[in-house]
Amino acid sequence: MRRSLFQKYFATFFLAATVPLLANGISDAWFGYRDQRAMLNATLRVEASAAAGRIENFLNGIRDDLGWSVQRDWAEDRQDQHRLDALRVLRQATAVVSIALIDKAGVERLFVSRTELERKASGVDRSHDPAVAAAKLEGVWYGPITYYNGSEPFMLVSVAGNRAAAGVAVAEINLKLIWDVVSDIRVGGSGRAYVVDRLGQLVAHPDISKVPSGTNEEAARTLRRLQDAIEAGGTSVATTNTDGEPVIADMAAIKGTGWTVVVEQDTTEAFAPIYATLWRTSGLLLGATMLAAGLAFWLAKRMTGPVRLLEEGTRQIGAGQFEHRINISTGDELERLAARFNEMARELASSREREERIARLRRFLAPQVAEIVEKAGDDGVLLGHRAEVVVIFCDLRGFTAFSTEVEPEEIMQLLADYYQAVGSIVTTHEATVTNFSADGLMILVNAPISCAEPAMRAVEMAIAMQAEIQRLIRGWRERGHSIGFGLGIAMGWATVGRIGYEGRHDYTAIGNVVNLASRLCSSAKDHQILLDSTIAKAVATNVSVVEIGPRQLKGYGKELIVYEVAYPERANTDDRRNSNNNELAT
Amino acid sequence: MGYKQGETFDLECQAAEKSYERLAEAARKLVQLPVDVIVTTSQPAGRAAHQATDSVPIVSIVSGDPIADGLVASLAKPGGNFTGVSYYATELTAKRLELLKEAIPDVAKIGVLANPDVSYLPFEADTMRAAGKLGIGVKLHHVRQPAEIDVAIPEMKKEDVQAIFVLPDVMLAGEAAHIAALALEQRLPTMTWGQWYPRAGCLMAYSADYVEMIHRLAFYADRILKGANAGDLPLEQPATFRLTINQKTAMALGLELPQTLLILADEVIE
Repeated sequence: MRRSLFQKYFATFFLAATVPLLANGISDAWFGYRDQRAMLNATLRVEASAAAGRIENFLNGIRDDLGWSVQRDWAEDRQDQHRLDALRVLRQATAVVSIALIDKAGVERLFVSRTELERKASGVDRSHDPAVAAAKLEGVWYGPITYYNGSEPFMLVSVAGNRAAAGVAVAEINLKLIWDVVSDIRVGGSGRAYVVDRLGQLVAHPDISKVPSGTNEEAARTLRRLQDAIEAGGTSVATTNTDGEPVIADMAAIKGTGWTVVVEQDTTEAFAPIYATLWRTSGLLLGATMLAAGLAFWLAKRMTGPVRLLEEGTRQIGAGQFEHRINISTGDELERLAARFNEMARELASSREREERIARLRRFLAPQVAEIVEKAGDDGVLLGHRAEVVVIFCDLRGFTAFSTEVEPEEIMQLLADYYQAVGSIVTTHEATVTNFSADGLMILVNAPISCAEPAMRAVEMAIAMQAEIQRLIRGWRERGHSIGFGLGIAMGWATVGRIGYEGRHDYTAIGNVVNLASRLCSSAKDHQILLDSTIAKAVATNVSVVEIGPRQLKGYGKELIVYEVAYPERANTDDRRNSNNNELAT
Repeated sequence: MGYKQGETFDLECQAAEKSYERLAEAARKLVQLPVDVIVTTSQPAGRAAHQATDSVPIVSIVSGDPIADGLVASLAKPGGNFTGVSYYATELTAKRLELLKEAIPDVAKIGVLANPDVSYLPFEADTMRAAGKLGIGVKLHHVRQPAEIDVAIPEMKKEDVQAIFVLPDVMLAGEAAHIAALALEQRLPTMTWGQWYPRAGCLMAYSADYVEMIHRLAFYADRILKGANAGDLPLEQPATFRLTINQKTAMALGLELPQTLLILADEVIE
């Protein structure tokens, strides 16, 4: 149960923290990816367009330079002028390797080259040369790529004059000079650009060893596939290049030539920022998740810890360890609950203590008195002090003889009945039983709790006891037991208090009055209640007291005047007389 | 290219002091070190290196026909351990003669300075063929040592040549000022194969851009150091050519160079 509560709290806290984090992290990563991809698209597109623009400029420059060589008519004999024009173009356009000037009729009139010997008026008919025919038709013509010695890429460019009479210039262009343009293009660290013609052949590539392989049919197929993919998508595509490396590529067309500039960047490098973002996000998420787990653990522990303490506390208190206290300082409902528990434990402890004390008091005090003492809150009343008390002794006459004759069960039964009767009367009169000794009993009145008219109360109690015990005695006599009952009462100052040792205490009175009451009891006959002069005087107005003259009491030097209570017998007086006559000794 | 000597690469230099005999020894030493790539700036040095090793990559400037010389299988895919750039030393022979004729239209006989140590290259044959085509007579003078030039040039003057034509050679490359002084002394214009000749006082030169080619060698060395196979790198042909003219020398010789020549000149020293 405890474990599952912990699990519930943990799962709740953990999910509450991580679900929004995860959602945020994932959406961040997704949008980051999209932004990065869009940026990459834009970068590649810009680079491709810029490269295409530069190559266009390069070719336009050559076209414009060539234009200078086709401005003069061939009709006039201006061979030298034409030659000067052609040499100027060579001077101007470094990429131009040679120029052939062809007149209106398609006859080659001049050929100048950087490496070969000049040809003047060679008379070669080039009217069917596609370069010448196309230039006449379209003004400018870009020929296919050819490889000199299989390694140097060349291209023919022909330009027609604005008038047919000016003829056509056919120039051989060294395309390696485009390489400088292409080599300059850098996209990131590994990104590069290369130029492909309409057949998928490489025109220029920063890696010179690649260009001769431009004639490689497989490479050409790869390039055509790439062109198709980019055209279809309208944006950069993730693909593999001719080396089989994964790349992101985009392209731009170069007007007039059918060439395409392809710009590519290694996928790993292109996506490096995306991966970096992903790693960062993952790292943060991991960290946050661990933190959330830690927090959730701590919170769950904080929630279940007090519950566990409460459970343990309840168990301890249940086992009777009322001194156990639950220590929870969470400052919330749980702390209040713990405080209630502690309060409950305290109350249980004090309640048990009180019960124990009452149980202790009840051993010698009447229940009502015990309650009073208990309510007083302390045992102060039980401490030793001097008080004017009434001491009552009572015992059964003929009990010793009886006890030697009968079975213990019967003795105990008789004593049980006797004490039941005496006890209930003592309780009724709120008197204090100090000690028992077989059939004898010492009772105090006015201690430890003082009461109004203690003397009267003692005598009334004695009369009640005589009445009750005499009723019992009649039953016992019917069973053949000769037993009588007598009391002695004395009143005077005595030291009262609790005596005994831990776990076994009695309340008692010490003083002459105790001895006196005891002696009076000893000399009392059955039915008799003997009083000393002090109590006799105290009750004389309410009870009829008869002086029965001086008596010699054991332990007393001189004779004392002893009084007897003349109480009305509820039973018939015959009994009393009988008993008086039958003089039973104790 | 981001290299730093002593940090990212070590440079081992072996000089042969322009002596063809000592090239083979220098090449052997480099191979034995060993090195990751051998870079040479002339055909004979590249050839010596190629003879010394068939495994250490070699990047060199070449002249003549590297396929016929057995250095490479093809220009597009050399195949072996040799690659580089062609200087077009012999390919431009005819063009040089044509340009010389442009400068001196009535040139009919020229004196040719050649080192027989590089006779295995087709310089002399190409010169003869082109001169024949252009109707120019040739007086060939073999010189092995710089001192021999002192003899050869006055001899040319005696033979009534109208110009001196210097053929490619490492020894002759180092004697540019020497040749220029002798030629001027004999009032002979010189057509040469490197920009440094007119700068030293010779009349003119037409060649591929030598400095650009040296830079290109660095590109090849970089590719090879980064793991490329020399045999996969095409042997490149030059794309730009330079005509250099020393106008001061022309004036000293009393030559009036035509406008067409000056238009073509990339560098005119005045």
